[in-house]
This record gives sequence, C-alpha cells and structure tokens, in this order.
Amino acid sequence: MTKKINSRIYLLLLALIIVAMTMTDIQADTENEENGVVEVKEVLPLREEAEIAPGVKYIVRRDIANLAGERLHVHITEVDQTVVDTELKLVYAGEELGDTQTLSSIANNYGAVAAINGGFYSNQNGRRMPVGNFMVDGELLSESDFYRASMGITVDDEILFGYFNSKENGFDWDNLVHMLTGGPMLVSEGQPVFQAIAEGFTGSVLSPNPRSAVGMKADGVVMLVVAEREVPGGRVGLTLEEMAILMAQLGAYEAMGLDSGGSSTMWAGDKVVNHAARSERAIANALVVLRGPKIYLNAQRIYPDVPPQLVGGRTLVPIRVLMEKLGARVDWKAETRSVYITRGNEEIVLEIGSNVALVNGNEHILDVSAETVNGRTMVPVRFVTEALNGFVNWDGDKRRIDLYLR
Amino acid sequence: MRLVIFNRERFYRTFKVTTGFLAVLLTWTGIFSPLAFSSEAKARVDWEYRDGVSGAHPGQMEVLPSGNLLLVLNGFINSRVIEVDRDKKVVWRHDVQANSAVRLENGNTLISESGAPGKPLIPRVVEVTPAGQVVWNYELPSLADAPRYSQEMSDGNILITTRNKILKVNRAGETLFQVNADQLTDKKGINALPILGQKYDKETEKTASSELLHLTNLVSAKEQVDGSILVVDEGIRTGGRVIELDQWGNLIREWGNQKLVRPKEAVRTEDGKIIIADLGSYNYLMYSQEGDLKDIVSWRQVITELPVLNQWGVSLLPNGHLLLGLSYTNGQSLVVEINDKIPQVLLNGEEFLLGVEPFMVDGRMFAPANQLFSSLGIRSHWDNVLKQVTAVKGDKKAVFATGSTEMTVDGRTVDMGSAPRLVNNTTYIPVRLLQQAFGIDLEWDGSTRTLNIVYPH
Repeated sequence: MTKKINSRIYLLLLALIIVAMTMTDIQADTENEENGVVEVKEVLPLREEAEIAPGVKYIVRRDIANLAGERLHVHITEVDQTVVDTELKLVYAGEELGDTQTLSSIANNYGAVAAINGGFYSNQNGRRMPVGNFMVDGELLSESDFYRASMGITVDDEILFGYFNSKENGFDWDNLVHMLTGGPMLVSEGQPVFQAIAEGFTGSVLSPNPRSAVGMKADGVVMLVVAEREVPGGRVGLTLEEMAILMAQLGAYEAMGLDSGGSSTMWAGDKVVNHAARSERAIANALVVLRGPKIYLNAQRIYPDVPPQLVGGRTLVPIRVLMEKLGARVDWKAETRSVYITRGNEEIVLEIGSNVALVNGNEHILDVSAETVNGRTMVPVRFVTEALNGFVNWDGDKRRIDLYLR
Repeated sequence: MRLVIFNRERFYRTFKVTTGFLAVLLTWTGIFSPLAFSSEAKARVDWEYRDGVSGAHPGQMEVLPSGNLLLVLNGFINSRVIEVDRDKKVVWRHDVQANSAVRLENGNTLISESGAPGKPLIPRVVEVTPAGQVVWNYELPSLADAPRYSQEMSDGNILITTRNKILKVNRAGETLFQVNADQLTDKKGINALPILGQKYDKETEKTASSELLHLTNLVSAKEQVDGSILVVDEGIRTGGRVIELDQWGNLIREWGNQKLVRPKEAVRTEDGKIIIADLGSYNYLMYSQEGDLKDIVSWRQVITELPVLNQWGVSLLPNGHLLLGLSYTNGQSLVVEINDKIPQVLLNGEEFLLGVEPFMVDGRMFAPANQLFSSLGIRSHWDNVLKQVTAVKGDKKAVFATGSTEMTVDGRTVDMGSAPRLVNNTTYIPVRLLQQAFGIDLEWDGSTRTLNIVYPH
C-alpha cells in the first residue's frame, strides 16, 4: 500500500471512530433528553417525609423489600382527623354512582390534598357499581351480605373496620356517614390476618400485585397506603399476606385492603405519586382527604377545587367556586389586579391585596382582602355572598359555612 | 395377473367412506355430545365433585371411612360444610364458614369456625351433632387467632392450629400445651425469612432491621399413628416446611427448606415414612423415617391438562390417590380425585397394546373401541343412517352410540352408566360394555388402576 492510501485509511478509520462515539453519545442523550433535560441516574433517598397540610403527612419508604427480596416503594399518607378542618371522606367518581374517573380527576374535583383509590367495583350494564356496602354522606347506596371487609366512618369521625354484613348483626348503622367494602381484612387488633381465601378471593388477585390499603393506628390516625415494586409492572409487588404483615409493621391496629393491581393510585399534594402516574386507571370511588371548613350552598355541600383558606378568621375560596356554584360572572382585569363579580343587578369589585372593595360602586372595608394563593385567586366568601344579598351562617363547632343565596 | 399394489379406486372409495364416517361421526357428536372433545379425557381424574353454588371454593377435605367426602366450602357467600357421597349427593350440610371439619368416631363433626361474618360471632372450635346442635365449643380470642384446623387426639383432647400457634386443650377448656410456631425454628434446617418492614420494638425504641424472623402460616397440626404431631406450615411466598413435634409439643425435626414451596398436607405412614403434598411445586415427596428424601412424584401433568385457575388444597388418600381442591378458569370450583398411575389394560394377565391410553372418568375406565373389539373377536359396524355402532360376537349383538348411556343388547335396553365418547377421532367405550354386552369377565385392581380382561380362546 502507498503512503497516501495508508493515511487515507487512517483518516477514514479515525473519522469512523469519531462518528461512532458521537453517535453513541447522541443516542444516549436522546433517551435522556426527551424532556430537554439530561437525567443523571440518582439514588432516591430511602425515606422521605413531608407535611402536605395540617394533620396530613406524606411518607415514602424505599427501604422495604417483599419476602422475595424485591425492593418496594411504599407510599403512606397519614391523616389525623383530630386536627381542625382535616377531613377523610368517601366519594364516588363523576356525578352519578356508576361513573368512573381517574383519581387525578376526582382529587381535582374535590380539591383533595391527598387521595387513594377505593373499593372493588363490578360491571353492571356498562356501569361500574360497588361490590358490597357503599354509603356516602349518610346515604346507603349499596348493601350486601358478602363476607368482605368493610370500613366505616361515623358522624364523630370514628373509623371502624369489620364485617358489616346486614342490619341484623348488631352493628349501629345509624351512626355512619360513610361505608366502603374492600377486602380482605389485613390487620385486626394489631395482628396481621390472612383473610383472602375466607373472603373468597380467587385468581390473579392472589398473586403479587401493587396493593392499596387503608388502616388505622392505635391512636386513631388513618393510614392510606400504596405499596408496589420499585420496578413498575402488573402482576408484581406484594401478595395479600405480605401486605397484611406490612400494614401491621407500619403500625396499623386495624387495616383493610382496597382495590389493587392497576387500580392502586395515590394522590398526595397536587399529583399522583406512585407508578399509576404513568397511566391512570378510571376508578369508581375513592377516599379523599379534604382541608378547610366545609362549605354548603343552600344546604348542598360544594367542593372548592383548592382548599378554602382561613385568613384572619375569614374564609377565602377560589373564585371559580363563585362562578360555577353561585352562578356569578367573573372578569379579571390584569392591569389593576381586580376581580369583577356580577350577578343579577349586583356588581362587586375586589382588588388583590386591597381591603377596600366596591359594591355597586360603593366602597366597603374588608377584614381580609382577596389574595392569590399558588396562582389561584381567592376571595372572602362571606363578604361576597352578603354583597350578593345572600345569607351566611358559620358553625364553629361543626366547622361549617352555610351560604344561602337565591 | 396383475399384482395389485395400489388400487386407486378402492383407495378412494375407502377414503371417502372413512372420512365420511368420521365427518358424520364428528358432526353428530359435535351437535349431540358436548363431551366428545373434552380435554379432560386425557387427565387422570378418577372422580370429581363440582358444587354448583358460586362464591365459595373448596378448603379442607377429608375422605371418611364410608368413602364419602367431608368438604369445607369457603368464600364471601354460601360458606358451608358438606358431606358428599360417591354419587355426588349432598348427604349432610352445616351452614357456617369453617376452616376445617373432621368427623369424630361418635358421628359428630369437629369444626373450626372462622368467626364469619363477624361480631357477635367469634372464631371457635365446635363439636356439632348431625342435627347441627353444638355440644362443645372452645373460643379463640381474636380473628388473628382464628382456628385453621382442629383434631380430636387419641387421648380425647383437642389439638388446635391457628396461623402461628398450636395448642392442645382438654374438654374443660384448659390448655395442656401451647407452641408459638413463629419461634419454632431449627435454624440449621430452615432459611429464616427477612422481615418485610422494619420491626419497631416499642420497649427498646429500636428498629431491628438485621433481625430475621420466621413468619409462619400454619395449615394444620395432626397427630399421627405413632403419637407424634406433624405440623404443616405453608409459608408465605417461601419458607414452607413440615415440623415434627413430640406429644408434649417439643420440636423433633423439620423438613422443607428448598424443597417445599407451599405444603398443604403431611402424613406419617404406618411404616414410618413421611409423605408431604406440596401444592406449590405440584409434588408429593416421600421421606424415610430418618428424614432422607426418597422419592418425588409430580401431578403437574394433570394440572396442565385441566383449566385450573387456583389450587386450594390437597389431601393424601389412603389408597395412594390425591384429592385436589381447585377452581377452574370458568369460576367452577371442584374437588378432583387423581392418580398418577396411568390406567392399564391387560389381556389374560399380559400387557395389551391398545395404541392409545385408556382413561378414567368418574371412576369408570374408557378404552378405544376398535382395538378392544378386534382383539376380542368382536365384529363392529357403523351405521351411517342410524348413527350407531353394532358390535357382534357369536350370537350376541350390542348396539350403542356415542353420547348415549343406553345400549341395546339382543333387543334389551341396558344402562351403561356412562356414554361412549369420541376423543381425537377415536371412539372410546366404557369397558364395562364388554361385560354387559358379551359377558366378558373384567378384573379391576383399583390400587394399581389395572384392568384385566379374561378372554380364554
């Protein structure tokens, strides 16, 4: 070979090597640069804890393995209902029993600070109806004699777990506000119990799966738990026995399984926090954690999509509540940072941060001004309702605001 | 003369007739006999009981000296204890959710009640008369201590098994011994399981993350013929083991370790061997008296041939058969009696090549008709118009059809008890037909599943 050819070959090889290296880099970066960010694989902390809201704590545990030695991610939301204005509630998806929605949609609709998927449901003529007992806000919507674990919430915010099968088994149904059937019972009097077979579970639900459960500690704090494999996937995770042992070891005194597998979803703060975030399943009901006083309009409860804020003894609600529920028209003027609320013949003007409001042109002094909280405009609900010729009643014991508006 | 090697015309004629015959037979049986292509034909199921009620599936099973099956059905609805005879008739029933039921010598039944559906009912062990009257009971303190199995021992006391405890109580309710199986581990022989979460000790306020804990999931503790107690722990995911206790509850020996996945039953035979049925690996294992593994026999083949969704339990029968509690993928729950031995047909004591395997259905043997007939000097003929088979031997004539349990023998109607069936293009007849139609002697040995056809000629 001549020198010329040699050097050409050399250059060619060099060029190929450089191209190969670059291409490898490009490919690697392309994978990580989907969002325009180059990800560095980092080790997540074994344990994280954050207070989402007063009485509501979100914990992630990554230091737990199942009995096959596979690492798990365990998401726990602890709810202390003794903290003022913290409420655990059962809700169904959509408008009517039988509707389904993702947990994100449900949580957003109710302004939940935390939520978990609910019980099992079956397909009946295209509607997803709850399996077992189902009571929401004191209304019994479904009742059955199945031997399946149920959870009840009483008028005094007491949480009960058991087999509430019929009106005849001596249990006081009149005291209940919410009742949800799940299964199986996982923990009883602090001990893990293996009830899956006795409760008639068959098939793949007995295999390892992501799991949801609700439990209660001895001090009354409620635990909402989603446990799944570190590596996402269907048919991987925990068996029901493992979930029972885990719940007991996490401190549950009583606990019950909820719908699991692809339904296992937890919402904490403002997003879904477990693997379900990749692809949420539409579910039929959920347990949601709400903050703030309860708001009723003409004796019907309404749910601001962000929790009401208590400022200076006054309750602020997001402006959207007024639009949708009070039937008011709302306009926003950016240059003056003012909100114009019109309803019938009434017009109210509120400026963010100003304690002077205009009602039909007349000035009024406010105890607390309209505010922007996390990008949402919040207005004092009593002032606005009364300015629209409505009537407001505040019950400090029940933590309840009643708005009456024609 | 031409040597006819291949007669085209005859070939086509025969071909047409044969396929025609098969086509017609297939169609006919397809329409009139849904059993014709049953995939269960190949599985070695000797007998089965399907309960038609949904919601509950088989739990603990026991075959009584009478041959009847005492069965616990457990679920979210319709839980009950039933006794079923070999004709599948329910002869006794007790409506309670139970974890176990065993028949006592006095005719009463000892039942471990789960406590369903909750307060005011509580977990307890009861002795109940055939009329359903409770004549003795022993209460357990909580759901976590629900009894999973109870047995009356040879000394009249009651041996009770909960998830992690074995206790012996007398009829006055006093505890004679109590063993906590969580602590019962022969550390040499068992792989202790890592704990799931971190165990928090309230007293020391420490988490024992390095502590290993054996988590038991007891199935039963049963007194054996020699007075020892065999305890089956099915484990959780892994850790299945069998423990031998002496009559005072002391640990003698342990089996399992890597071999057992989900054991459900252990029996000590009269000659001291231990047989363990392991649901998880579809095996039963035989150990010598000293604890050496002698043999492993699998029933996996049967399970793969049946549309099984879940296996619930297994029981070892004295005749060497296995009883399996299953749920099928269609939701049906059932108990099947299976035998790993392929049924065999002998002719005058000598091996008889049938070409295809005979099989058992409901305790009756089916064998291929053509092979049997041709070896026994029986001529048979298929009538395409009447869709039936006529078999003739000497002066005896039998007429039968697949799908029908009735045959005509010399003009008389005879009930065969089961119907001939078509499987994989082969007509199988219940072998009993040979005796009923032609008086041929049949000798059946149930323990080896061997049929001997006596045919002197």
